[in-house]
Amino acid sequence: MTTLREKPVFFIFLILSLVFHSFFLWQKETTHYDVTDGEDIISVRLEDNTLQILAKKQPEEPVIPLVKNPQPSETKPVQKISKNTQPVVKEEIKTVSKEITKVTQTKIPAPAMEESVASKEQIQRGIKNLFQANFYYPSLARRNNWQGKLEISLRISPDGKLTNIQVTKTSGYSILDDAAIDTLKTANILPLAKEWLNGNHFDMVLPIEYRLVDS
Amino acid sequence: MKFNKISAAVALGLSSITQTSIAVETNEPVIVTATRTAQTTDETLASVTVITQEDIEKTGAKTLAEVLSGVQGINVTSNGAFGKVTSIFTRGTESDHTILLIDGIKFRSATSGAPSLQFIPVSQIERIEIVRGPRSSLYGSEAIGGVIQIFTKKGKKKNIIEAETGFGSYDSAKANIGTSGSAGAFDYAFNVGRFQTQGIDILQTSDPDKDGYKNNSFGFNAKYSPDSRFNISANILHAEGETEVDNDYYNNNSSEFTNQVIGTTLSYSPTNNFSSKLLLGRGLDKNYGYGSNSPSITTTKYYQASWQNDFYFEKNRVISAGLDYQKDHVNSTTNYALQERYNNGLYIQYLDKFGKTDLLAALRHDDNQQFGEHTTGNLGFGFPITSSLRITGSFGTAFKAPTLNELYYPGGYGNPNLQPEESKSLEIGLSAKEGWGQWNISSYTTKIKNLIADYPATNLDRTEIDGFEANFVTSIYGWNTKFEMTLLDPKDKSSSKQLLKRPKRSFKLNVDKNFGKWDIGTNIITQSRRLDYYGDFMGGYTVVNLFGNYSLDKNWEIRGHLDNLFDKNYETSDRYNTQDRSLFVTIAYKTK
Repeated sequence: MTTLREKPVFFIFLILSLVFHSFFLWQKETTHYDVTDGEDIISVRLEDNTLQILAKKQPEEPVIPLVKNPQPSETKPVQKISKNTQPVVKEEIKTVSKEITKVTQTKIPAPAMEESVASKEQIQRGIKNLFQANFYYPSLARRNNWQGKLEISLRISPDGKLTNIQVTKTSGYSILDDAAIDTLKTANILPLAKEWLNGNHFDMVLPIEYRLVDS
Repeated sequence: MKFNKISAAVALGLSSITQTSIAVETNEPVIVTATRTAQTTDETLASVTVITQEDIEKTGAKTLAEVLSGVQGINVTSNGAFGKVTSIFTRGTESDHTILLIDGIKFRSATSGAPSLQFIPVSQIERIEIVRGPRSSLYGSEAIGGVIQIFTKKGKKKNIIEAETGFGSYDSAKANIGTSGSAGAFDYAFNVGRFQTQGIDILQTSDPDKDGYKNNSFGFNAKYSPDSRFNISANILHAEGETEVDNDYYNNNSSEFTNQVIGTTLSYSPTNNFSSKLLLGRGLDKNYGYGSNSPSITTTKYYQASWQNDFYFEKNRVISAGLDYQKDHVNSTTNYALQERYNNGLYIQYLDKFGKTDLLAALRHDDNQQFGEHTTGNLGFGFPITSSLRITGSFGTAFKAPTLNELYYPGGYGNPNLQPEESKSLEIGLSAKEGWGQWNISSYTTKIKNLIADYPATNLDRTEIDGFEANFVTSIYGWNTKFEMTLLDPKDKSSSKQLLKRPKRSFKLNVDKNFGKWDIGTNIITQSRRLDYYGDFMGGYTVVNLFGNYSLDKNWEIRGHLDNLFDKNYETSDRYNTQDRSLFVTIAYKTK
């Protein structure tokens, strides 16, 4: 057996370098976006206050909650909890959304503009919460102190799916841009949008800022 | 311990254009935030304390010993005040069981194995990270107690000038001036400083004179980052001066010292899945001691080359693999049978997250020129019990070759038959961060086989250190309150004797409050008695220090520090004096 002592250090450097390259190439090939199935995401969404706001139908800007620790990994236990409560909550949505539909249909006969305003705010809040609940700060960026602002354009299709997700303004770090896209692609769907959109598409630009803070 | 949790503050507004096209709104972004990680190790899984330049300036510490004294898990002893031999015992381990890094480069004497802490100028320090416990696969196998990393001042985006001068008891004076900033792709920082004092009479038994000290230092850092994926940096920390010591055998002893760390680091992240860092460094510890007989001159050099590669997978998986090469070199009037010794290390670390659980596993293989091959490693986990409460646990092993002094120092101390020290540590901890403050507790046990102690140097068969430490931070009526506690039972199992110089109980309370232009506070350190070489105990003590800082305007500040308010006589090293009640006043300028 050869010991480290007998073999020159560069020999080990060489081996490691080979290991690195194979890792690197393999990584490039296997880079992909995970798409979580929609059902789980629906249950996550029900944790936040979108439902409440929808029921109240307040046009003014809501008080924005301080969401703590929205680590992506935390969605799993949340999913478990909400799965238990799913039947109850699902009923709630149905009743609420029915009421809303009734209200919009009866009280406001031709409110194309007004309805869009209400929907827009709800969708804004929905996307905000969706991003907060699913985002992650990539380890490499944290270690290198990389921060930045970026903008993403996306289209929400009538069934609530997030499509055409694209970076329109880069943060300067592709890893942050990718993480933001990955976050939205993983989230995949804005569940309640279906009710709000009423068969329309919704195109929007979402500005995002990744920031590191001292604890 | 700090939480590493990603916390998010939200400020959101979206501009949106529906298909029916409505007016565009204000463009407030979603702000997503994460906590900056400690550079030495991730706080998610380790016990980490961070001390910043502001903390140091506020409490008015003039020496590193004052900065570290009483900190959770840390015990500091000095053979007298100002520039005299100072040792750190992390979690009750030996003074050479803590790796001290300066900007990533190990700083230690090749002969004693311990760093010359007393000569590190605090004016050059920007940040200190203290990692307790043996989780040092990345830095070396010998961190039985922990790792302390010092970061010197670096250039930031903003160009600043800082200067301070101060005077105080024992004819002490200091002056420091520095500039830092950036120009294009370059960041730079340059600081020079001087500290001098007539000192105190350090040794009670002989040489009734004052033992003065002077230290001239400079620090230089430059970093070139043409783009975010590549940077190269260079750093130098240099301190030299003279310190007078007392000795039972000779008169008028004094020694001139030079301590230096030079390093260069190249970092490269070609892709989002990989980053690589190459570090080359050299440490120098030179001592020219003279008294009534012929001078003793010892120059030790330490060379280091390390190459670390990090591979990023998925969201939270990081695999680090690296190599490091270290060489100690001694040139001395004292005759050492071995003047040079190297160590090659190879390590791999795996960091991942399964659900909410953070996991770490690391392995390190070392080949020591003198003591052969050893494999060490550590395992750790962290789990959030609730959103604010977190449990962590770890197990780690360490290995340390005897120092050249322990092996070869003449006059009856050195013992060439020594075996390496080997340790196992187990730790469990809880930490919480609430709206009102934060706290952490941890309990650990460290078993060391062949711990080297006594005169002549001897391997103690079995040593065990059981410890409990706690930290509590809150604000009471605007008073920032921090309480740190360390309980230890460091024991030689074969003889059931307490290990030397470690107090079994240590408490530190720091309280301060800001009143507009005033910032006032106190810190109180209480330590129980400790055993020393001659079999007697040095008494326990409580020392109260006061500080008050006054802002003249946004740039100028006056700081006053009254140390040892009640003029307590105490010792941290047998027969060596410590500072009496003393005052120090500083005026400081910093561009804001």
